[in-house]
Amino acid sequence: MKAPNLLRLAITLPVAALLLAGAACQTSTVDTVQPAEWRGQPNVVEDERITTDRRLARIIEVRGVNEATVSNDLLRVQVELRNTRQGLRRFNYQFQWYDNEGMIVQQATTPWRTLQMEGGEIVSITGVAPSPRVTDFRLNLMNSTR
Amino acid sequence: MKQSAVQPETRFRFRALASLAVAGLCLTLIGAGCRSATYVDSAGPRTIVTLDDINIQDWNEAADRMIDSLLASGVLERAPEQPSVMAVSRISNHTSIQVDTNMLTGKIRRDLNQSGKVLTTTTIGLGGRVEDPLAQTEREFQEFMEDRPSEQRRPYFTLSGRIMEDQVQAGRTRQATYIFQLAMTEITSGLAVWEDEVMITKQGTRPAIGW
Repeated sequence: MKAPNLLRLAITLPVAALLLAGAACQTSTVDTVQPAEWRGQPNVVEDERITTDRRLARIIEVRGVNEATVSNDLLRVQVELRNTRQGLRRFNYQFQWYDNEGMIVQQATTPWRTLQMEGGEIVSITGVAPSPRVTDFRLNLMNSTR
Repeated sequence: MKQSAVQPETRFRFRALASLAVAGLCLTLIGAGCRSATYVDSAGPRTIVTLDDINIQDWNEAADRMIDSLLASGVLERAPEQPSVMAVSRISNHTSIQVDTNMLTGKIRRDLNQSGKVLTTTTIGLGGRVEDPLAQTEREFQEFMEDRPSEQRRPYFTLSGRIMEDQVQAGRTRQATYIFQLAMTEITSGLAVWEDEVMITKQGTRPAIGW
């Protein structure tokens, strides 16, 4: 086979593979219906964000953070996220808990959890503090390691 | 004989580039196949995912979600004496694999204990099998020596459950779902005051590192 033909093949094959892969990855998005005005009054928390993965920050929009108290004295946190893209996205998250002196409150394990969101989907993730000593929290988000 | 339009120099460059690309690909594949053993965070997202087992991250997630659910339910405050006492009852395994259910209950117990809401007894067990026989023997000895029954707190709640699996296949792709069901029973009423289920589904053709 001549060199220009090989070159053409070398360009054509990856393009064809990309097109086929694109066809295999069907995009699916979620439409949402909700009350125009929420009747509940969530205790909204002002948040500070430290972004190191700008791509992830563009994909996963943090819409809001609110907290409540459960079991009389345990902090419960809810973070609302939206996948801004058209297709399924996977990522991991982890809550960390701190006492009123800013010290981390250790659990038996503080596992990362996996979450997958369809395109445009809005999901609320929640965490319950492991101890009444907890006054603050931190949520870590990272892209799937695969 | 028809001559090629490509100059020998161009042909040589193309072959050199192609050889380099093939060599690079081979090195990458060899590198990917050989990973030296290293430590990874047991609770982190770089652990191995398999379809035939309940992996460490599955146990962690199931236990963590159960703890969140139980603490948020508010049932633990119903016990007249705080912190309430819980005994672990039967957690039956209905999967095709052999598992140690303590992987689930151990973490739940530790985190509930840390929450200050529940204490777990280690001297009362299903069928008389206690977790800490020395503590039980010592208590019996002290009761005998003092000639009066000790003030042992009896459990107010019991924790029971089952683990199930569902395996399906489509072509080469396999899907494994592990279902964790737990219930907390209030002993005095015999009612399940809290129940929850966590399902973990994994899909693929082969094991993978990271998730």
